[in-house]
Amino acid sequence: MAGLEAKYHPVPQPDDIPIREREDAMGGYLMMFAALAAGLPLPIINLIAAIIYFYINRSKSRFIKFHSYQSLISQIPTTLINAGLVFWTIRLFFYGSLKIDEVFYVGSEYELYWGYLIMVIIANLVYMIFSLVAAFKARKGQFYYFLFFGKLAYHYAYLIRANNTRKIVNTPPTL
Amino acid sequence: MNFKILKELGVLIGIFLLIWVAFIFIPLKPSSPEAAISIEKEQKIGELLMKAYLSNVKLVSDSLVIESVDLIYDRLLNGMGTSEYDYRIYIIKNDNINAFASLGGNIVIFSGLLKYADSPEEVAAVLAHEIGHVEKRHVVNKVVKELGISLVLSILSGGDVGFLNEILQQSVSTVFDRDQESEADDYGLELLELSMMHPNAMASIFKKIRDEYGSSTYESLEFLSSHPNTNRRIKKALEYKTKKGFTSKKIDRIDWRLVQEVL
Repeated sequence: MAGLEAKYHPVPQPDDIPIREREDAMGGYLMMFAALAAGLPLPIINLIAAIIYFYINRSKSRFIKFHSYQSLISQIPTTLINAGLVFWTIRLFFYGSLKIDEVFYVGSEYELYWGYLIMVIIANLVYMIFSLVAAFKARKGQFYYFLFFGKLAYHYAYLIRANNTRKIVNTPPTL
Repeated sequence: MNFKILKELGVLIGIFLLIWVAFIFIPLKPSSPEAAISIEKEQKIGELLMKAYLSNVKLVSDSLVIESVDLIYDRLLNGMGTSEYDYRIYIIKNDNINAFASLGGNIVIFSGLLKYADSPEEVAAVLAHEIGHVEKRHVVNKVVKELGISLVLSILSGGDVGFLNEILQQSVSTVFDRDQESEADDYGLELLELSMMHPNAMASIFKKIRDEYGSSTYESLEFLSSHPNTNRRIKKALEYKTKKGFTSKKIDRIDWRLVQEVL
């Protein structure tokens, strides 16, 4: 594993990160909260906002790149399951019934639905809590690695790419 | 590193799938409020209620009728085995085709129902259904939901008589929800089978009541006429599959025509 470390850029220490970068990194998470409220009926606006934010800020620094990328990719599954809930609810609304005694009817699709609903609520809460913590940490110039997404974002932002050493060689067609 | 990252993804997906599955199996129904009232307490309250109720109605005193209903009840009791409830069955003089279960295993049958039923088995079917409501604690569930636990329990400590009437009203106007009705039906059908009576008796009495009261509303059996799924319930009773080797035994110790003449 010793050779592996060499492939990544060193992570900066809190004192090395200017305040401006910290605020931009924090913005990646806070952006989501603002967009979430705006996009509540169709939970897709927050994703669009996160993508835009990421593309604007990613080239500023690796620290910002890491945080905004982590915010973006951790939002994708949350958005997907939220969208799933919205469509399922609409489907039940039009093709089923959401009356309380119908919904609790045993042995139907509704049991799956209510389980899913609670799962989505929990997922969103977990996501928000983690995002808030990450936002505060970013403000202090620290890293905060989410499960899975943290590693992915680190890999994406800090990997030393060999791009600049690749040389394009023109070759004639094989005859 | 690649393997580790995939493992973390797996853990994440696993956690949320588990949450989903867990909440499918954890019943989301409001927790049963009736659990707060023990069967003993329920029976004590039931006794007080029946005292109040019976002071306003006339009981059927003919011994033939009482004995016949007792015979029907004994059959059901044999099928039921043990019960935590002490059932008391009252037959009141009233031409309405009706029966209801009150708190604490007190079941009231209107003489109109006996007159209307063509066989003791049909009465047994209604009785089995009402016993189902008691055994599944639907009555106490409904009363507690409507009035609150403290109010119901205050009766025991010699509370207000006004409350007593309120509970009485609640427990007499038995409108259960659909799940409860279907649960009581299931229980009743099973009990009929265990008591060696054909479960079809439930279908035939339901059908009669439906035809009789087709569109009009009607006290406690109104669920039969107002519920759109009455037909489904009749169908369920008709399609009930008895176990292999099931034989029905008629309650032949009762001369039903004689009973009806007396009424």
